[in-house]
Amino acid sequence: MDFLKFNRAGALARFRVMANIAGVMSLLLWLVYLPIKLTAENDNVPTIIRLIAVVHGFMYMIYVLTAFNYSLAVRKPFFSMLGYLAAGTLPIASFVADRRARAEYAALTGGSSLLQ
Amino acid sequence: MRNNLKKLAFALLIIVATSTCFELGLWQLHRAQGMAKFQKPQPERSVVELSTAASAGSNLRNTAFNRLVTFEASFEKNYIAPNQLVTLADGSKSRKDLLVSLARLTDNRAVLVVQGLFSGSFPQNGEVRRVNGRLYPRQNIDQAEGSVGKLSRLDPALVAGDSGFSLFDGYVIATGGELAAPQLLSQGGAFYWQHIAYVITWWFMGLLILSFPFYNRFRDAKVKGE
Repeated sequence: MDFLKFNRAGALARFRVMANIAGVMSLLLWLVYLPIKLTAENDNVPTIIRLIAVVHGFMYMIYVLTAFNYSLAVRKPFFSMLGYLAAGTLPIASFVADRRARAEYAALTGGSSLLQ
Repeated sequence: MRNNLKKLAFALLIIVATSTCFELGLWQLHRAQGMAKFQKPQPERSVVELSTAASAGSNLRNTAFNRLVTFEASFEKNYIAPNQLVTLADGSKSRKDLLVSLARLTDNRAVLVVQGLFSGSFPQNGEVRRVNGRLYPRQNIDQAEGSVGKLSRLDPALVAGDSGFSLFDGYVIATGGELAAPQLLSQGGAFYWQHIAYVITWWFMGLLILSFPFYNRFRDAKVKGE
């Protein structure tokens, strides 16, 4: 299964980028889209606001892929991997996941990380 | 033995979670298809009996949307559906209160019928008459506050409690003949691509969950390969 041999630093970098994008999108979803959607009369939500939900959906999919990739690369246990996947659904949680992943990676590589 | 049970439970969990994701994706796909079909002009098809196009007590099929239907019924109860978006005879669009009636067919089946604009008083009910109209899917979004005698949206589920009839899904806008009603424009606020995005997301999640049983194998294979 050579296709599963990921470069750890690359996996971390991809995960970190997506964790931050998913975090920002989650914040927009929870703090902008949902309040407008829930208070809009007759569901009249502007298209630009609706796009937040659409973009968040696609960003979350990419986030999930990178979290899966990263979990394999650093040999995370199954339930820990699930935690990383779920972190993309809540605002701030993916930022926490990003920090944790960075600390894990630093511990794994003896404290040396190019991704500070 | 216990290990086998755990494996079986895990397999069942994966199957349930995957099929739930695929079902949710399908549901969103049907909503998107229904929306696309509802919003574009349809080539007119022949008028059919209501019971041919739809069945009471079951979900309205996409193929039944916008069908011209006819049936004999007696109006049993009247409601107001406030603040509905309609196209008036002069082509202008406006929000109006509609007169909606529960029409009972010859048996114990009934369907919601939009009779027209609400004029301030309810017509006399009881006599059997032939209704011609167009069949629409139920509204999912409230257009106004609901109360006794007022429907927040055109949805037979709202009258199921006080009718005792077996209800057809969706509603009929009466056209022609002795009844007239403006054509409703849309379900309101729907967004086709948002549903399509949800379809892709749900199916992707289903595929991902399907890969969970192999997670440890992928991980171990990687360790061995190093």
